[in-house]
Amino acid sequence: MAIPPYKAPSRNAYDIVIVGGAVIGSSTAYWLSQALGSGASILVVERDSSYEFSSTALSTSAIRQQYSNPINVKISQFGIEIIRGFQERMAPFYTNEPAPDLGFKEHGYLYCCSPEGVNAARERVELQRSLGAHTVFLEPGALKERFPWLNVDDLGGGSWGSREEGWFDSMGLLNGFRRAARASGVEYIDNAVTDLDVSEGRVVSARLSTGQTVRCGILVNAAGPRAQQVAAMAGLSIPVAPYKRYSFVFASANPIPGRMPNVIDLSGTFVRPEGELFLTGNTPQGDGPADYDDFEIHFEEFDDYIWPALWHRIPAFDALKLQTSWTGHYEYNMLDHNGIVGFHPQVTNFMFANGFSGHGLQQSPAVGRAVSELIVHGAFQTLDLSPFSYERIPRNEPFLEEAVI
Amino acid sequence: MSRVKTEPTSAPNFILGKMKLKILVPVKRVVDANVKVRVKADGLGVELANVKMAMNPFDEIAVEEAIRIKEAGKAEEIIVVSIGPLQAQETLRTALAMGADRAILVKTDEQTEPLGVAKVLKGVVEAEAPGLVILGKQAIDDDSNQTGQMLAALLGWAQGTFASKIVLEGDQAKVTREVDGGLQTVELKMPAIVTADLRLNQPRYASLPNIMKAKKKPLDEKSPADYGADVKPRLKVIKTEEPGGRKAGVKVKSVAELVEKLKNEAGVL
Repeated sequence: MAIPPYKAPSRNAYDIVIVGGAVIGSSTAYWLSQALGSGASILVVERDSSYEFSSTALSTSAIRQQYSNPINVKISQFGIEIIRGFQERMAPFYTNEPAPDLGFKEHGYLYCCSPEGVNAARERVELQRSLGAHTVFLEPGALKERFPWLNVDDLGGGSWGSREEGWFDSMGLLNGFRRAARASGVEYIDNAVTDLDVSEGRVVSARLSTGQTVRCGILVNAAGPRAQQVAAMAGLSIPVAPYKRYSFVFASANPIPGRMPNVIDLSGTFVRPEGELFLTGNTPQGDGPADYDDFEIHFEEFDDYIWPALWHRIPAFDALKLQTSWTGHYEYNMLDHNGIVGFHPQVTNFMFANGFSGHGLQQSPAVGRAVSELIVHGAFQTLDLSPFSYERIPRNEPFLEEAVI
Repeated sequence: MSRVKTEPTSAPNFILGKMKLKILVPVKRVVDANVKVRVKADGLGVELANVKMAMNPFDEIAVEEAIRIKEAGKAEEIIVVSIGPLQAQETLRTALAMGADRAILVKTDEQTEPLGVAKVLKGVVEAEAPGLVILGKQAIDDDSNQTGQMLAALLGWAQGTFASKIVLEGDQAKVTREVDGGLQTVELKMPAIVTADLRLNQPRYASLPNIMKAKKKPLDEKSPADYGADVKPRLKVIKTEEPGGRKAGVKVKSVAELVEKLKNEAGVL
């Protein structure tokens, strides 16, 4: 799909300019528009509103409660609340047609656990349960009973989210937020921010590739994998880079009976059903920063690593056939693979909403709301996302999350 | 639906005797059927760089049919052959993993065309003496639908094209062909050429253990010259075009308006 022709903005000054109009930028625009009404002028600049290469569109679109950090669990719980109530929430913006149903498939996640990891896994399950999640730890016998197709021989057990975990329609979420924001007065343009003018610790204006300069009260960096490019325009630096993730869809000669969850193998390979097909992916070999435009796929990753891992964990997956595949980018925070949310301490109107490292889509409802709260109220009002603040970056203090996929 | 019994085309008086049947299956490496094909910038072909390749689906059906004949005890050996670049080895390994016994790669980096391929295959047939050659009816990349027919002509063998069913009895092959509006059954005297249509069977997936085992099956590398064939292209591609883009639709307010538009604008009613 081609990038739509770039357009000039309708004004030369905005209260808030958001760089990036995919799910993080659009959620932010939505929450801001609901909080500020038409009193504020908001511009969202999207470099490719076909979203062909956006991480939102290329995401495997799943949400889980199984994190090791309480704040990540709570962020997900709010995500679930938004996903469940999305159609109702969006109804006012879809007057003559049905609002998007996000098709939430509540199949849960099953994290396989090595015998050495049992204690840590049990502790995570306890933490999640104390926060209201429905995760349970299953011993190998119970695991086998519930999921007879699973090889449990080398497992110490598994943690299974029986509810409020699964996968959904990423573009439906994006389109809803975007439509609601626009209907509430937010202006979206097809254009690219090429530079930022910083003066006395503030971003004063953004330059567009069509030549215009727009003044801004606040600038929000929601540029996904390109976050560092935007940060650099303000003379700032965050350790965020695009990391390639391959998704493979395959058919299996043998069906998997019952309600199959998203299975996370010890190898880091995940697999879940997609209708009669299956979707799988992993952390590819030689994982590291990729070029911004590198979406080349490596089929050997499936043949040499993913399939053997799948066959080991699920012996019914002995005869498979690849159907389709694609490459997406994580906006990977190389410090601690967690998001960066908040203003920069020196460039004080520069807001980060970056580095979600593969959790961006599922965290977008809570992140957009949190960013809106910081802008409107100067402080978090609901969930306290201060562990994600920018200050940990220059201090080199990782905010660790153990449950990564 | 009438069943026509056609006399077989004239075949040489080839007697199989007591020897069990050898089946030759040519397979082609093509762009995977699930890939959205893009035309190259120069318009002389399609983009192949970093595109997933796979066995031509009709060839897969041919391989499957050969395996089923062998599993039914009616054939002794299945030889698969591919004429193409070194990477066509992968396609041959897939066929071996499905159940073929050995493979021949006739290596060439030329853009192969049906006549050149048929000439190489004639050489392979003369060297391997199969009693049956099963080919895909066409390759999904160039849609030529010529190789099987040309090979039959070069060998002077009987041919049953667009097969949806093959029954072997003695030195006869009864082939049900998919023709416009129905089915036609022909009886061929073997050795014969059969080209596989879509409904002949549902090919199996190669299993991972069999893919591993297939790495040890024999795969010979030959050249077109080994079979006295010249595969230099004779055709010149002038232009390759993508289908025209879809025009934007319109919303209609009522059934009456829809009917009106179908009648007067689309002209389909």
